[in-house]
Amino acid sequence: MNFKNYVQPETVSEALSLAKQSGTVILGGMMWLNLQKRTVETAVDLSRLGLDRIESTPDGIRIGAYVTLRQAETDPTLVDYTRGAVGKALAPIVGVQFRNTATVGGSVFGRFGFSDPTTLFTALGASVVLAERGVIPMETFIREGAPRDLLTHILLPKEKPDAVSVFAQRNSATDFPALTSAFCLRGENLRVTVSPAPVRGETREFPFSDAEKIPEALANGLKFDSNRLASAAYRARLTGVFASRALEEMKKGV
Amino acid sequence: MEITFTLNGKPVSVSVSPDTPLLDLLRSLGMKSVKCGCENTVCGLCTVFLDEKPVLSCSVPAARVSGKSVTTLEGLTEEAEAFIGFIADQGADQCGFCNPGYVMNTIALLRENPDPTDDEIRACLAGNLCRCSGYEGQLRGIRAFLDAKKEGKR
Amino acid sequence: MKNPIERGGVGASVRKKDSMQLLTGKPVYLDDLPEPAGCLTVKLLRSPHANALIREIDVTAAISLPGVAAVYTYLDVPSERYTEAGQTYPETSPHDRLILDRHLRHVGDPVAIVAAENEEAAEKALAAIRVTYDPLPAVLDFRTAKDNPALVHPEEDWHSLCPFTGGDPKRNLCASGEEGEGDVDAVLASCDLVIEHPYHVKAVNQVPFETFRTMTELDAYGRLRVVSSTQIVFHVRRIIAHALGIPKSAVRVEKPRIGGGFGAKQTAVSEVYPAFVTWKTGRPAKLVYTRKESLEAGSPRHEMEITVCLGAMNDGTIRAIDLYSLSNTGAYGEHGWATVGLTAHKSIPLYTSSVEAFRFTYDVVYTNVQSSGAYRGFGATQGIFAVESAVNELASRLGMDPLEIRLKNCVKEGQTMPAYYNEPASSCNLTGCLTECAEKFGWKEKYPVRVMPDGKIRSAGMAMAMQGSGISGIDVGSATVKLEDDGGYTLLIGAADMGTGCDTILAQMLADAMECPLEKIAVRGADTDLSPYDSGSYASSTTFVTGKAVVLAADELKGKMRKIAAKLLKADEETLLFEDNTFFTADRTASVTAAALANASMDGNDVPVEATATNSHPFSPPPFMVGMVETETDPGTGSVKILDYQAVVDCGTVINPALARVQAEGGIVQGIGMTLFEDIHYGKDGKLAENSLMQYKIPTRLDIGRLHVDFAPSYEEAGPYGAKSIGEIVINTPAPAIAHAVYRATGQWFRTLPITPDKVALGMGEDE
Repeated sequence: MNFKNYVQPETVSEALSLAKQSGTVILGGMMWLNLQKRTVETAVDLSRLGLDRIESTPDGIRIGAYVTLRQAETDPTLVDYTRGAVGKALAPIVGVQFRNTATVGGSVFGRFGFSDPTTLFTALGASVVLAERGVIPMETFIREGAPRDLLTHILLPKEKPDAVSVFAQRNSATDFPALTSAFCLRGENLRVTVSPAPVRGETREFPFSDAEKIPEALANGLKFDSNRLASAAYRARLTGVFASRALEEMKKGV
Repeated sequence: MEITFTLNGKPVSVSVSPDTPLLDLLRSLGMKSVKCGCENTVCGLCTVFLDEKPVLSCSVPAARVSGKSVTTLEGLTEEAEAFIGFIADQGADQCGFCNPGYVMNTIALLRENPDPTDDEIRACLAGNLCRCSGYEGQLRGIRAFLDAKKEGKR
Repeated sequence: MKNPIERGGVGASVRKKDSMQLLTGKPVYLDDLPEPAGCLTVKLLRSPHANALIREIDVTAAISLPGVAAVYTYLDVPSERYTEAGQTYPETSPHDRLILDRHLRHVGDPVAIVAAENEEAAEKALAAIRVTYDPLPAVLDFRTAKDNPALVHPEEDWHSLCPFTGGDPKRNLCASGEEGEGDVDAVLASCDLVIEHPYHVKAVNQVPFETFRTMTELDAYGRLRVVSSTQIVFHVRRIIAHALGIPKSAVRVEKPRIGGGFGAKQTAVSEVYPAFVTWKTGRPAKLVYTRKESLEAGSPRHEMEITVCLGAMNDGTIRAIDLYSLSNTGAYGEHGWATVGLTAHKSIPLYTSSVEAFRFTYDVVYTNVQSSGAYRGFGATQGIFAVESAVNELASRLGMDPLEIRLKNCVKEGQTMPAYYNEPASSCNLTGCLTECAEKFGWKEKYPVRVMPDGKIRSAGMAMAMQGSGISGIDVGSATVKLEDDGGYTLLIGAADMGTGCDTILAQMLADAMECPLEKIAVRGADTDLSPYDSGSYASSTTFVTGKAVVLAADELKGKMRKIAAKLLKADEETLLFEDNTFFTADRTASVTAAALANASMDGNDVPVEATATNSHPFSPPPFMVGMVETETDPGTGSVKILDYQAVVDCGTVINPALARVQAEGGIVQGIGMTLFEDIHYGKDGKLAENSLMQYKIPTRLDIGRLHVDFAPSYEEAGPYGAKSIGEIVINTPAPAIAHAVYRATGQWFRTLPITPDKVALGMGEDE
C-alpha cells in the first residue's frame, strides 16, 4: 500500500471526519506496505488521540484502541480481570516487537477470524465504542463491521469473570492460529467465542450445568471452513477438544 | 514531508515520503545494521527501539517517529559488547544477517529483566527468526553471559 | 605455543574471524556496500501464467517514462541456452534457459528486465509494459508430467552437455536412468518380508534471510565486475559469460559476506539480469530480490516421491533395496540429475553390511512450477526420509528394536559400498554413533510409549544418515598461502563462507600447519581475480577438499621458506627444524623466525614466499550421523512437540567443535521445520500460496525443543587432519526420526511431509 499524505489528528472528531472521507486509510498500530498493491490518498495515524490507556471506570474496564497488544498483555488490571488469560492469549502473537506496535483497535477493527484479542474480548462480553455509532456489543461489531467509523475504545463489563480459559491451535509457535477460542464463566453463565479462521468468530452462551453437552454443541453448531492451515473437519474437532479442556480447567478452578 | 527525530541520541531532520517505512529511512541514513528479512513483520531482523521499546521498523511509518527517539545497534555497540562475545564463543552468530535484530531485542530484554530464565529468553526472542539456526547457541551465549555476570558480582 | 588449542588450531572452539563485525551489525553484506555512482535499480516483470507464450509485448510506454534507462525483452537477449546451476563444466544440468524467453514456463518466470534510476521509476516502468499472453495447458502435478502431451520444453535448441543423464524434453524428462547391482527381484522374492511405500517430500525453501542479490559494474579495464551473494564465484563467472555470450576473461565475480545460502545460492538465480543490464548500458546495476520473488522464483528443494521396496528376513537382515525416485525439477533442470542420484547413493549404502542387491531407477520431470535447485542435503534428505522410515517400519513389523536392527545391518569401516560407486568406507564410526546416541539420549527409557497424566503421548524415534565430502573426482579446492611482513600469513581461497565459518576453520588448519597463532592469519575469500580456483562451497566440500589444499599449500610454502632460512642460517636446508613458526638449526643454536624470514624475503631474494596448492579426491568419504528424538503428541489437537533431539555425528576430526555443533543444530532445526510445518501449495493456476514468511513458516526458537549434539569421530586419512564434512548431513535425520516417533504415538505412518497437526488429529496417516 502506498499513500501520499500522512496525518496525525489530535482529536477523535477530527479523526472521524478523516475516516469518513474516501481515499483514506486508518492505520492500526502498524502497516504492511507490501501486502496490498494499492495507493490511497491519506493515511491516518491515531497515535495522538490519547487512546493508549487502560482505565478502570465505574462501569468496567476501558481499553483505548491504541493500546498495544504488549501493553494489554502485561497490564495488571487486565491480567487480574482475565485471571491471566490475556497473557496466554496474546503472547504467541509473532513477537514482543510486533506486540509493541500492533494495537488492540487494529486487531479488533480488522474483524479477522484469527484474532486472539478479539476472541478473548468477545468472550469476556466486551462492547466496542465507535465514534459515530456509539457503544455496540462486540459480537454485533464482528458481524456487521463499521465501515468509515472509528473505533475508540473497548469496554469490558464491570463484573470480573469467575474463570477464563483460552485455547488456540497453531501449526508452529507464532503462526496465525488455525482456530482460537475463549471461554468466560460468570456465575452459571458460560460464554464461549470460537474463531475458526477463515470464518469469523461466533459466540454462544450456555448454562454451566450443561457442561457435558457443550463441546458437542459447539463442534456441531458452528460453521467451519478449510484453508491452507487446516481443514473444516479438524477445526470442528479442535472446537470440541478445546471446549472439553476449558471446562475441565474451570471445574478444577471453581 | 519533513520530520525531526532523535537517532542514536542525535537530532536528525529529513524529508521523507509519507509511506516510507522507518526501515528504509534508517538504512538510507547509513544505519545498515537494520536488515530487511521478510518485509512483513514476522522475522524480527529490522528491530530498532522507538522511544526505548523494540519495534519492527518495516511496519512503522517513518512519519510517525517525528518528535520521537529511535535507536539502532549503531547507537548501542557498547551495551551489546557486554554480551555478544559470549554468543561469538558459541559460533552462534553464523551468517550474521539476523544478528542485529536479536541483539537489539536481547538488550531490551536485559534492560527490563536483568536475570531472565532460559524460557523467558526464548519467549522474548520468539519473534527473532534465525534460519542458520543459532537458537540454542544464542541461548547458551546469553546464559554464559548471565552466569559470568553473577560470578563477577560474587 | 605448541598446543594447537592454545594457538587456535585444529580442535579449538575459536570464534569466527568475522564474529564481532557480524554481531555489531557492520555493513558487510551486498546491500550495505556503497553503490557505484549512477547505479541502476533492476527489476523483473514476471509471468502471471504457469505456461504461456508472449504474443505481443510493448515496452514503448515504459521506456519513455522519466528515470527509466532500459527495458529488455526476449527480443533483446542472446539466443544461446544455458543453465544457472553452479556445477563443474560440463554441467549435468541441461542448457534449457534463456535470459528472457518468449515461452514462460512458471508463474514468476521473467518476462522483461527494467533498469531505472531508482526503485519508484522501475516499479512504474514494470506497470507500463503491455503484454499479451497466449496461455498454454500447464503441467502442475509432477506425477503426470512424464509423457504428458503438454511440454515444458518443446524448443528444438534444448541441449544437454552430458547425454548420460538421460534427459528427453519431448517426454518432459530432465533426466532418467537406472543402475544397480545383483538380482534385486530374486533377492526380494526370497525375503521373509517386503516393505513397499512411496514417500513424498515437498519443494521446501531454504529461506536464507538475505535474499538473492547482485551488483554489477564495468571496472577501470572495461571488464564486468560482479559482486554477488553467492556460494560459487567461479561458476557464476562461467554462467554469466555463457548467458551473455562474452569471454570469461571479461568477467570478475566477488562475494562479500553472505546472509545465508544453504544451497540456494549454488544456483545463479539473480546474477545474470544486472550483468546483462551493465553489459548493455555500461552502467552499474543492482538487483535485490524481494522475499516474494525469492519464494516464487528461487531454487528450492526438489519435490520428490520416492518409492522404497525393502526386503528383509525375520531376523532383521536387510537384503535388498529397490528405489524409484520421481523428482520434480520444475520449469528448468538446475541440479535435476545430480540431486536425484543422492536419494539412493546416500541411503542404500547405510546398509552395506547386509544388502546383497539394490536397484535405483529415477525420472526427473519438468513441470510448470519454479525451478528447483540445491538445498542442504541435496536429495539425500528425501532418500533418507524414505529408506529410514521403511527401516523403522521393518523394525516395528518384526517387533525388533530399531536400534538393534541398525547395529546389525549398518555399514562398517573398511567395507566397500556398492551403492556408493564402490567407494570404501575408509573412515566410519556409525556403530559408535548409534551406541553413543542411544546412551546419551536414553533410548531404553524413551523408546517405550508413555501416556502422560494430561493424555499427551511421549514417544521416540530414530534415524541414521550419511552424506559425502565433496563430489568424488570432480570437486577442486585450492588455497594460496602468502607469508606476510610480521611472520603471519594471508590465506586466499575461492570457497565461500556463508556463515558456516569456513574462513575460520581453514585458517585454523593453516595455524596448525605453520604452528602460529590464529590471529596471525588473514583470510580473503572468493574473488575470481584473486582466489585460486575452487569449485565453490557446496556438496559438503569445503572442509574436506579445500581444507586439504590448505595443508598442501602450507607444506609447499614451508619448503620455500626453508630455502631462504637455509641461506640465512648458513645451514643445509634438509637439516633445519621447523617449530613454532620458526626455523632452527639441527643443534638449535641458531634460528630465524617467520617474521625475520619475511623481512629477508624482501631483500635480494628470488624465492617466492607464497604457494598455491590444489586438491581433488577420487572418493567422497561420507560423514555419518544418528539422530534420536523424543516427542510429545497431543492426541486431541494433533500437535507434535519436540522435547529432546540428540544427535551424534562422525564428521571425522572436529576442526572447531563450537562451529560444528551449531552447524548440526542448524541442520536439525531446518529438518524439524520441513517435517512439521514448512509447506508448499500451488494453486490450479500455478501460483504459490506460501509466497511470504507470513505463510511459509520456518521454525522459531519455541518450536525446536532441546537439542544435544555430540561427536563420535573416526579419522579420515584423506582429509585435512582427519576431517570429513558436516554441513549437509545434519538436515537428514529429523524427518524419519520424527515420523517414527509420531508412528509410535499414533500407530500411523506419515509418508508425506509435513506432518501437520490436522493430519495427525484426523488420522490421515496410514495404519501399518
